[in-house]
Amino acid sequence: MNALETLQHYFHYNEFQSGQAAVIDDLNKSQDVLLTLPTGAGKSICYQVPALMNNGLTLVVTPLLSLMEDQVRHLKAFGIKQVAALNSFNTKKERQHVLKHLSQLKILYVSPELLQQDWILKRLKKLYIRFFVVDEAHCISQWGHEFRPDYMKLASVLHSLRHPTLLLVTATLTEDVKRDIFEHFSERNILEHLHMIDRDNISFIVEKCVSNMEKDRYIVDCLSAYHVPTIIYFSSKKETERVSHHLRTALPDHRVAYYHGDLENNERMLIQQQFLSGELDVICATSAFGMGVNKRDVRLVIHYHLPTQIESFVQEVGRAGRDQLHSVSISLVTEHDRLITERLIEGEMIEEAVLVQLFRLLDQYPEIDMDEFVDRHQLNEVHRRYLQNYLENHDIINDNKTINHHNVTEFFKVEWIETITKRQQFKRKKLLELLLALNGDRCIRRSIYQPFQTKIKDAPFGCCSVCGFTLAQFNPIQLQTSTEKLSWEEKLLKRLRPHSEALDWKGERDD
Amino acid sequence: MFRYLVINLLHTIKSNRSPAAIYHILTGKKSSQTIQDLHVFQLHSYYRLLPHLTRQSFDDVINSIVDEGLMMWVNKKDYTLTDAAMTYLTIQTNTTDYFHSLTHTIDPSAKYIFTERLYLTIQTFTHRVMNERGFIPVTDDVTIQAFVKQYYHVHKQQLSDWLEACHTHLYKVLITYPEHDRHIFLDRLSTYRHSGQSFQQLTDRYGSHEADLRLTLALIERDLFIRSQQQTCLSDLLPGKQTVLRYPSLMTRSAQKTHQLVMRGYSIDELIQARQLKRGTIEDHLVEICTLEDHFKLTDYVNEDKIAQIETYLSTRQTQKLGEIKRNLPAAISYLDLRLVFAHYQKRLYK
Repeated sequence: MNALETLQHYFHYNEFQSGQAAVIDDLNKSQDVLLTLPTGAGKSICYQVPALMNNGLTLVVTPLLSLMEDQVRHLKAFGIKQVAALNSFNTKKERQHVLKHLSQLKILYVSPELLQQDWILKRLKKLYIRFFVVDEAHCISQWGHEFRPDYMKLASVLHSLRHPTLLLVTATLTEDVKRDIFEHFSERNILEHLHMIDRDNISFIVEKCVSNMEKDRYIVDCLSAYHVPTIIYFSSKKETERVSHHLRTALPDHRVAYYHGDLENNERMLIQQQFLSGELDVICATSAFGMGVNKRDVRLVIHYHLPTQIESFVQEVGRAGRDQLHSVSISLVTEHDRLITERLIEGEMIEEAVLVQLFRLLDQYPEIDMDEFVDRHQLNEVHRRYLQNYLENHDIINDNKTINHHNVTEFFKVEWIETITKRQQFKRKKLLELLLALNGDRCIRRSIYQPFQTKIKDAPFGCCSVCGFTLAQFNPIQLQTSTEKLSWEEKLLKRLRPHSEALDWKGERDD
Repeated sequence: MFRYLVINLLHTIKSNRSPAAIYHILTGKKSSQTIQDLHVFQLHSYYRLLPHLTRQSFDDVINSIVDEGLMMWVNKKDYTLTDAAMTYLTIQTNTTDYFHSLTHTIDPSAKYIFTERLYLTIQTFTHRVMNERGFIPVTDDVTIQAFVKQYYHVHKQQLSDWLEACHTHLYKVLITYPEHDRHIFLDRLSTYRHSGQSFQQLTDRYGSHEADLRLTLALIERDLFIRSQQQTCLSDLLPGKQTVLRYPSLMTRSAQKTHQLVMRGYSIDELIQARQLKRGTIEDHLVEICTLEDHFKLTDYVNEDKIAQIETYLSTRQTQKLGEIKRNLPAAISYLDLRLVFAHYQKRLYK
């Protein structure tokens, strides 16, 4: 099968979307590629098709566990069963199951931290790895908006796998990040496939509000006028619940639910599935929602709170209008949003005071217990890995925790503190950039896409609120919902014997 | 209903333990203390009844019970039930029928496997009978998925027969439950063109507390599981080697390792050395082993004089609070002595 036949056979699409075929050709010729495509433009097809066409295993490194699970489920739903995921959330049973069938797999998703482990590397080295895909490749860069310390070791992993063809994928590539990526993989000859990521079917609105109450009111008004598939983004889990309850009362015809990382896995999956299949209209979510959710007809993305940088904003907005129909992004901003977001940034970073404590331990003791240190300072998993990697990369500690005091110099300490201070400043700069893009008097579309490309496409449906677009110009197809009022016997029959229903009522559908 | 269950359990443990002990039993915590509680209060059939119950939901119910004057806190951990609670329990007697499935002790892990298989089979078969291939499975457990895949291949020619039989069976079971519960069970099912409702959605729709919803589902699932042990159309979904609940299977894995050494006659210090564990952990293991193992030789770890002293005291006292007993015994008797003898004593008492 050639590439097109593979696409048609496995994915039931008639043709490639723009950009895909060229990347697949290069990969098949064993050419390393750096690829940017807008969110939802089918990045994964670019490696899934070659993976299915060629011998050997395709390894996909992705930092997002939910994305990994979604991709595997998604492929299995297409009937492609030789796929699996390995990450730290696998149960022992699941992991054994995957390892046992490793040689039969075509695509294996794996988290970057697992790739650091010898036992898995050893298994992988025995296999023929055809493609090595790095998803969310901006995570390699310190200047990427989601820097992952584990990504810093990918080049050496790649080396130990006898150089499979490399594909680096991201939706958000700035110049800084690109430089870092090329430096990291300096021994490879990487071809660029950079596509414009701006979305011309999305119109942008920024609405200034004075309080949360005003935001609530705005959303109720907006949704009563527009009953369309909607995602509302929050930075607080509590607020997703509060607003979701509020909307359910205020808009009884809308099917509303909330989604955040504290929900049980099973509950999250049900909500996601309902939204995908059109059984839910409005979802109040934190940024945990949306990765890999490929719903094509999301018409409205509302930001109740802003994320911490333009890159995340672009990704979240990009979940709207994947069917190319007109869609709208609304950002509700208040003066004190900035404080909330600043606090978020502080939470993400390691504080200087923590480093000072760490230095004290390094000076005084022969060895260090990282777990205990992390517990005492209530650091999260990302922090822990960051500290561990930094110490290992500077030959301060090795596996048996023994401290190499010789390397704990004043210079080392000063340099480290400088690094995190710089990163703090960098994060603040990124936040400011987003706030300026949304609050300035320049075209919003131009401001948010400019960091990624110099040219911006014209917006056929209306550009942004600065350029004169108003919500009144938005005229989407609206949803009609009816709530089913069935007796329990009817429900049981309908759920368990859908086929008899189809026979009885000659295929009449109720949605 | 969950409220009734909790008050009933509070009544059973008779203020000897804090309410949290009930939470640990319901969620199936694998600690020595919880397993001991199962034995002391004979609550095996409640073990892991609600594995995913959140502490928050549980605490909410406890707080509401306090607010309504059914329970009072004596101090931070100890409580007493009020007369109003006793009246409440006698008025609610018609519920015994509702909880009938709790009279059987079951193996919670077998029930888990059965239930997950059932839900995934229903989801798969209803989709396939409509020629729909793509859906996101309700469970990520690969062993469950592998089973259903095989099961599907066996039944793929008779999907509608299977669904019809399942429909009839569910009808028979559900009709024995209140209408409200039947709806909850059916709304939670994921089938063709209907994704199961999440707990937040069921809470909104029916105004029930999440804990009540979980209990409703757990009781129906349990009922289906128990009935399947007689021949029903769902019996094929039972895990192959039907493991009957045996006490050693309750023992934590770490305690099992210690147990091997105990059988070889290791002393406490030798155990600490061999297992490279803290003294406290080894002591917990010993108590666990003493509770669960009939051939545990108490005299290997506590001398006979002490055993006699403690047992004499225990036979005259009603309390089960170790702290109180300890205060009334000579200082030479350690907590470990007391815990071991106590566990041993309880074990014989219930035999």
